[in-house]
Amino acid sequence: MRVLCPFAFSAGLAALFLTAPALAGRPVASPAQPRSEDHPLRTLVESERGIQTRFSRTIDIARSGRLLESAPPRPVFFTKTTVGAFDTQHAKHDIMLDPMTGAVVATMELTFKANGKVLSAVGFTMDEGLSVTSVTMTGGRAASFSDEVYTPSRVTNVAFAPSLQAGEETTLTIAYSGTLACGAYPESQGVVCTKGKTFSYFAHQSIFPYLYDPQSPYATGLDSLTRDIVLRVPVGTDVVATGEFVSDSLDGQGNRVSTWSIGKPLSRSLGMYVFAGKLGLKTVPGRTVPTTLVYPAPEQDVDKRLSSWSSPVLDFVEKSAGTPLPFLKSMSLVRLPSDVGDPGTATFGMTLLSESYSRVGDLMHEETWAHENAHLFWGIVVPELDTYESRLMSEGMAMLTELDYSFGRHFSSEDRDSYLARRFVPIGLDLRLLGKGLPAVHLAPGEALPDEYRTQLYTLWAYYKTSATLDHLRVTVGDDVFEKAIAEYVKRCSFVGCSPDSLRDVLSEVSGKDLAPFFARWVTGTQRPQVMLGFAPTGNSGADVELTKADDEPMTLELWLRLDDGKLVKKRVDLGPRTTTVHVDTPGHVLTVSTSPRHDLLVDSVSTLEGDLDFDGETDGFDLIKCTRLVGKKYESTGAVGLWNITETFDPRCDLDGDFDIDEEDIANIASHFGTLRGGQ
Amino acid sequence: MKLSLFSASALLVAVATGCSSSSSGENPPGPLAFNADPGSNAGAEVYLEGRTEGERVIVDVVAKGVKDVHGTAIRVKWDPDALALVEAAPSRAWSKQAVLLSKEALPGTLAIAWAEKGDGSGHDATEPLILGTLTFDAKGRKGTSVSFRTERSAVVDHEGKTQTVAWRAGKVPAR
Repeated sequence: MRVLCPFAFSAGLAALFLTAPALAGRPVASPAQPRSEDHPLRTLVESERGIQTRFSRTIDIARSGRLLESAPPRPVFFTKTTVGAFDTQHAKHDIMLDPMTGAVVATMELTFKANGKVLSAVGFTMDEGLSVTSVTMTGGRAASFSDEVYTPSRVTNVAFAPSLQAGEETTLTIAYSGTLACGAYPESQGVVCTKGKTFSYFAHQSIFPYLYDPQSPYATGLDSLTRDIVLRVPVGTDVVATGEFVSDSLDGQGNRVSTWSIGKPLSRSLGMYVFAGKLGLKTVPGRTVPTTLVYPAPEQDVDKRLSSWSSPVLDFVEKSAGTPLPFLKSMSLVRLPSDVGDPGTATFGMTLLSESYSRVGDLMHEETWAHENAHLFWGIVVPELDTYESRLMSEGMAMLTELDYSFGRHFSSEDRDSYLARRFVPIGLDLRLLGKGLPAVHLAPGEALPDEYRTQLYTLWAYYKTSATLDHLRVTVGDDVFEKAIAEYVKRCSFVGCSPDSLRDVLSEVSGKDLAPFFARWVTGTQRPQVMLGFAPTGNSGADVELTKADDEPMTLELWLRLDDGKLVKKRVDLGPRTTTVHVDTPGHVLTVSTSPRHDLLVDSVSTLEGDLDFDGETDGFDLIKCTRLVGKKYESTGAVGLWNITETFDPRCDLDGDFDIDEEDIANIASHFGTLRGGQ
Repeated sequence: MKLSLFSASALLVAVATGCSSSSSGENPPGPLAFNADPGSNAGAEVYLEGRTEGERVIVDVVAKGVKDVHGTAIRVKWDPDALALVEAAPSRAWSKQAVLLSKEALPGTLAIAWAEKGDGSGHDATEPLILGTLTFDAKGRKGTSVSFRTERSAVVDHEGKTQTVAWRAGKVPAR
């Protein structure tokens, strides 16, 4: 189902979505873990993009076989391709599953259209133990199928004639059955499914076919569909599926019939899960919508924690998005056992997180829980038009939400700006240390992330750069304006593919300011411009502030004016070409003038006076004692896991030569300017 | 009342003559002194404790009631017509690696940075600890306060936290 984004007309029709976005948690780190490409966290990041990478691998293998001979050569990793014609509308699944044996008898009735061009085949992958028994099609079309196994998956191609002409719709009914093999993906620790367990796990590409367009297997735009799901399991079996719960009954033939619904369009590449067996099921307190924590029984302490965090997390996620989650009948929150090798994700009315994350400690575990649940909006309810074009409004927003959540829940006694600035320090350091040459947050049409963009660099691009940009953006427009704009964005983009351009347009409308220069500089461009600040107090009632940058493009910055009595005056100022002079009134004598530290990742603000690190217009003892205690501190990234270093105390301002080492040279540099004071004081 | 009038006359003479040093025919200046400001009840303070040697005023900068003195940024002000800075010497409390800087950046304004490097613990100044010593030469009869500019002065611990201290200065009376 393709819905035209109301304010992204150019991309709306063309956009399809092939592979799954990585919605799950980020790498898990502990400071003691060494830097290594084989770091377990790397593995987690890679596997959290599981469907995408697993599907790509299957297609890569299949490309050399018969099934996909007509497919275009595999592009470099993440390259966007032309949009496919496969436009899914609705799927009806009827699956009889014995979770103990893995026996499956199923049908899928898929309604789809041809988008913009002729469509003559569709494809899907599923567990290699399942195979198609029949295909039928409406509209008098003859359908045939062929398949081939690429362990652990089976790739099936359904060809039909006559071809579907652009705009035409048809319904394909596929019957399939067999016994699940539940193999493992060789390049990761993930498994397709587990069977015969009290907590049996059936991921996408196991019992639910993963749909794709064989003519454009790498198309990356959004294509979504609604689904009705009927699951038939042996009586006495607990079962939970992706979607909202509809009904539960017995069919009189020894089966429990559980029905679920995905009543709003969901990207066809997003995770479809079933859990069955003797499940741990616990009602999450404090939610109006019935919300269940699902876990491998027996209940453990981690389940109690997850349960207690869930209501505050979901409430916060809704507050941040400005609207309740649209899952009105039920929600499922899942603690995944680590042995399935699935770090988690979010999908329709369902959040999943591996228990592996509990090892990072309660604080970060809870924060990661917030991240995953934030994806219920950012990626599920509010999908991106093309997840390879940008992750600004999925990972970026989820990151922002998790940081905000932790602040509100655990650090609200701190100054919020300082807290956020502190959390972004290691992120900024990782970006500078490891992310040189990262492309823009929003890739240009046709631009591709290079092939080597795996895990670490992907994390930097998808998670860090996006969230840093968003936080800088909300300081630029003001948190209140940003909040209103996000609520409006959610309103317009729910179940519609939107892009960063949409955010720009909404923000411009809500703020009354043209945000195009911001987006050109920091979203479609990559800059960290230097801005030099100087000021002169005007008696005890303000200061004249001069800001100088090297270009003529507009920029808005929040100035912080610290007064002698410690009070802080914040003032947002618009910078024009080159040098801008503004007067700011204050209720006392101005001691320092700086920019909000939340700009620091994307704006290199410096005093006009060398060595003046605290922006008081003097190079004195304060500048030195800010840094002397940090001598010997080095920033040694464990590889794009800076987000987890919440106690990081490395102050980049003390690292004057930018070598990630606060050392004698840096102190000598400050000392060489020591004693430059304002006259007349 | 006569005494007051006399004093006023003397002051007028002093101003009229510029009075930066004694001259022939004038009475020699009175004794040089440094009077510390009265003690406070503050538990933690940085104060000046002075003495004189001839025409020289020697002032210790002392911290007291502070458990962890890792670094200090101090701004001291005086009337440059009354005193000339000879030196600002850190005490031996500081390690050899410490940053020990001072500069009379403006006439009568001394910026000081005495700070240890690294994240080791600071100096225990629970009991009075001399941080450094300022030496001035008197330039004449004129008196001056020797004061801290408190908003530009701070003591930090090894975590970089600013310690709450009272700043107590002193005066060199006119002679």
